[in-house]
Amino acid sequence: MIERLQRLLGDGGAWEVARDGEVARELGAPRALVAAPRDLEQCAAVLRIAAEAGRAVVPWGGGQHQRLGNVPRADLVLVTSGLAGIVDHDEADQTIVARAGTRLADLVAAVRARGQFLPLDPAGLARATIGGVVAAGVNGPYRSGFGLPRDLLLGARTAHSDGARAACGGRLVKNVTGFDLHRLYHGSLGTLAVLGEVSLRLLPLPEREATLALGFDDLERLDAFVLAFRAAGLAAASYVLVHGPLLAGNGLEGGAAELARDGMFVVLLRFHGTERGVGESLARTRELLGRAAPAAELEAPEDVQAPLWLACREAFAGVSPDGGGAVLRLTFLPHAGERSVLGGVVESVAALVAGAGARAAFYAEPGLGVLRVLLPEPPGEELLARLQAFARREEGRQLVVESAPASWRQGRDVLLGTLPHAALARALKAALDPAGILSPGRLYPEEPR
Amino acid sequence: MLPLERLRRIVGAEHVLSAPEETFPYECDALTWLRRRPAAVVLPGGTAETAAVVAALAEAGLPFVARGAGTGLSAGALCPAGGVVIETARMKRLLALDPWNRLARVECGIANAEVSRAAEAHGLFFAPDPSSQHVCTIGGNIAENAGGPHTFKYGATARHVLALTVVLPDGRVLHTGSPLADPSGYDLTGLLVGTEGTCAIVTEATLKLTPVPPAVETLLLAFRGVEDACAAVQRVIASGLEPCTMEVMDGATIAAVEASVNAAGYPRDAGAVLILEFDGGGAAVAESAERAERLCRELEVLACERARDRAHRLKLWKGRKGAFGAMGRLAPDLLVQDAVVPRSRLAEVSARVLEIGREQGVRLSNVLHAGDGNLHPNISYDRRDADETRRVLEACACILSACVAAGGTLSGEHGIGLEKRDFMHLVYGVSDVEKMRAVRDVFNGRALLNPDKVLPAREQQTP
Ligand SMILES: Cc1cc2nc3c(=O)[nH]c(=O)nc-3n(C[C@H](O)[C@H](O)[C@H](O)COP(=O)(O)OP(=O)(O)OC[C@H]3O[C@@H](n4cnc5c(N)ncnc54)[C@H](O)[C@@H]3O)c2cc1C
Repeated sequence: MIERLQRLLGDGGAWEVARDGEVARELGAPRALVAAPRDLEQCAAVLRIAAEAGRAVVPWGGGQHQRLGNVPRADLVLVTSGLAGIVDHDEADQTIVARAGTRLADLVAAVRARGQFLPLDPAGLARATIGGVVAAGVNGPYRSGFGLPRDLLLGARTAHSDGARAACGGRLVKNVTGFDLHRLYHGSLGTLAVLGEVSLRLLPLPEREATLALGFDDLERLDAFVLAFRAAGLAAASYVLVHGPLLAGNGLEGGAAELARDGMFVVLLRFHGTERGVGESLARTRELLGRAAPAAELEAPEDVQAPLWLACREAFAGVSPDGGGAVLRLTFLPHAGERSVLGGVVESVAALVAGAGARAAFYAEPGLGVLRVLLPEPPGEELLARLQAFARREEGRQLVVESAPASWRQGRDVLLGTLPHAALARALKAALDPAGILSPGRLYPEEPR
Repeated sequence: MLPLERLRRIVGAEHVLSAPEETFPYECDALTWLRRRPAAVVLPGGTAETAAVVAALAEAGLPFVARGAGTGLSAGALCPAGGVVIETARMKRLLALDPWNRLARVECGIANAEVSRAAEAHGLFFAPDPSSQHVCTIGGNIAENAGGPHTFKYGATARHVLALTVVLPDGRVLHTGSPLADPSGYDLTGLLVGTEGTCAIVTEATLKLTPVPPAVETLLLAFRGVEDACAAVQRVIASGLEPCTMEVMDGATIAAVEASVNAAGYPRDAGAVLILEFDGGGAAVAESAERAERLCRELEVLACERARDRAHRLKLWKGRKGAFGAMGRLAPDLLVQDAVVPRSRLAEVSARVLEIGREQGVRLSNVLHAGDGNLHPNISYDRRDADETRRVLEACACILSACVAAGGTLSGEHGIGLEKRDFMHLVYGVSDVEKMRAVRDVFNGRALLNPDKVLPAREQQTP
């Protein structure tokens, strides 16, 4: 197959993976080939070649999100690095079309340089590509204020395993012409099509940005704050809860160092808007602190804001420097009547983790009911079973292993039985990936062949 | 054969309509020139009855279509030949309201505005606000991915739907999505929103509610013409201000509105008015409104009015809310066209649209969700006049081509339905449509549910 690929892409366009490289590590596929098409037509041609050879293809952007989902079958890695660059930034219309392999950091910076704003900040921004971020359906601290990439996504161009290329949506901010297949590709982890190009809507760069850090060492007070903040109906650009130590360093000096101490849960709030608008949001938030008084409070000075958010964003990408850690994601309805359940959930999970002799840090989105448990190493079977039992104890909770090293994920279902509609999902896959070669097994288990 | 007896047993005899005088109102939706009489109309009382009705029709091999309030403007609810209409009018319960989690679970036949009305006591609302919101149903909104004046800030229906209960065209019931964040698996909810009732019948939905903003500022600006109004819109967008609505009405609309019961006191000499609204915190919206006013005054504004209070705001909105009604008074039929262009091309395309109206000799006015680049050219006509109808359709075809040529597309909120199906080739190639069809066939392989909508027949794909 490598000859056919090289004939198509040139000698430099296809190669064998390094045995100890990141492809081998993330996919557990030391014998895979790599192909680097330079446009969507070549993407489609690569897929056709692979389909004819019956080889499984894994699309690869920056490699940042390869640890999501199950380990797919992988004979060929289709890297999108050759499909990079902004196709068109229509400033007056506040939309942008970019090729899938464009680094998210480059895209964000290019947009910012023109006074506009793309509210995407998932972990690993520098490494991740826009195509990968859409395929993974992830966002970072901006998630709480601006949603997922899905909410900005206007359309896509894709390549399919029958060699076809297709478009859906477009580049208009409002569009109901045809089916919005891009919403299906979002979060599909490269199992349906290869994204070649996406268009996104942009926002104006806010005039002012402010960050408030509230440190709680008492989870009941934290819940009181979460409840009061919800009742106030305030809109924040980011609203997350992080374990204090994850923020250590990062300009938290003097009195603010208190925030980073062990046992501190820090609510980080970011407000965007006009000068007066942001001032108003800060003031209204402070009014809520009577009953929900935090142990420490800081309005981050200008030069501390960025490092704080960076630390927060990268918290779960860098669970451990060698990438050996794991992230578990527990989702739940954030309120039970007039009560915040977050504190109780954190407390229970922390107790289970400690009971298993493990260590963990926490990252949560209080408004959304998402708690991430960051483990320096993958969970033992007992801890996993206990957490699952905790999740099952109440209706409306879901636990999955969001990411973990390939070696640990191999042979498991990291989605822990939460995948619904397997038959329908397989039929959708067959419709869009007729050869059945795109990241087989990454989401839904492959049917025995 | 129509399994009338079986249908009557499922839903009760009084909920099956088959006499011509009963089925007559179902001949068309709000796009009145396309008409087809259904063989029967069935009104199921819930998910289980819908599933049983669908199973009976599928067994009989008869085509069928879901219908909400019938306010659709692209003939989406037009009945397939020899088929049955499944009307959702009996499924209008609010099943649950969870104000703290900001969720509402509803049956699909509930009117859009009912959801906001129920949520109001908790300081919440359902953000999608089509102008037809007092009658159109949540099921119809989901099918069309409906929008409205506030879509500019809050996004269309797709952003506000978290989970669905649907009946598949073979009668199976499927639950998609979850009120929880990040449900595992493919985003079937996101996929189904906007498929115009060609993949499944929605029977229940879990909707996301939004906090009612504490303060609103509304400005009404009058301009010499649509071009100036659009320039103001561009100016406001470029300045980084974030209004929640930017609605433009042209001179013909103003004249019609002012002559109607909904007269809002718009300056009659104006060639266009712009309603600009900001919502959010009190200080923030006051600041934004002041700035927007200053920006617009640098352009040639004929008049500027800022709402003093709620009553004043409602008065400024009255004309906009009544615009379609006012246009509808001018002739027996009103065709509300819907197309989108990049916001930066709106002024130029609006001028071209008026020109097309003149060329075809039709009575045309224009209402724009200007912030979204969404135009609604309205054409008043009499569908019994064959020549006039032909010119109206010709004008529509020209308008759609002009919008696509300017980088736009066929529909921003009313959908493709039957009306625009054969224009799809203007924006999509054969393989694009084939992928959409492949997906539709996963749900609706026998094409019994709402066949021949949205996706052009294979042979019609190349012009
Ligand atoms: C005066 C006027 C103003 C309007 N303003 C707007 C506007 O501002 N924004 C906007 O977006 N639209 C607007 N519309 C169009 C229309 O109101 C919307 O498309 C609305 O969403 C249709 O809802 P309905 O209940 O009337 O649906 P119907 O017309 O009954 O059906 C529309 C489509 O939805 C399908 N459908 C209906 N119910 C279901 C269901 N339960 N499951 C699956 N499919 C279903 C039908 O099969 C059909 O294809 C306007 C219409 C009028 C007449």
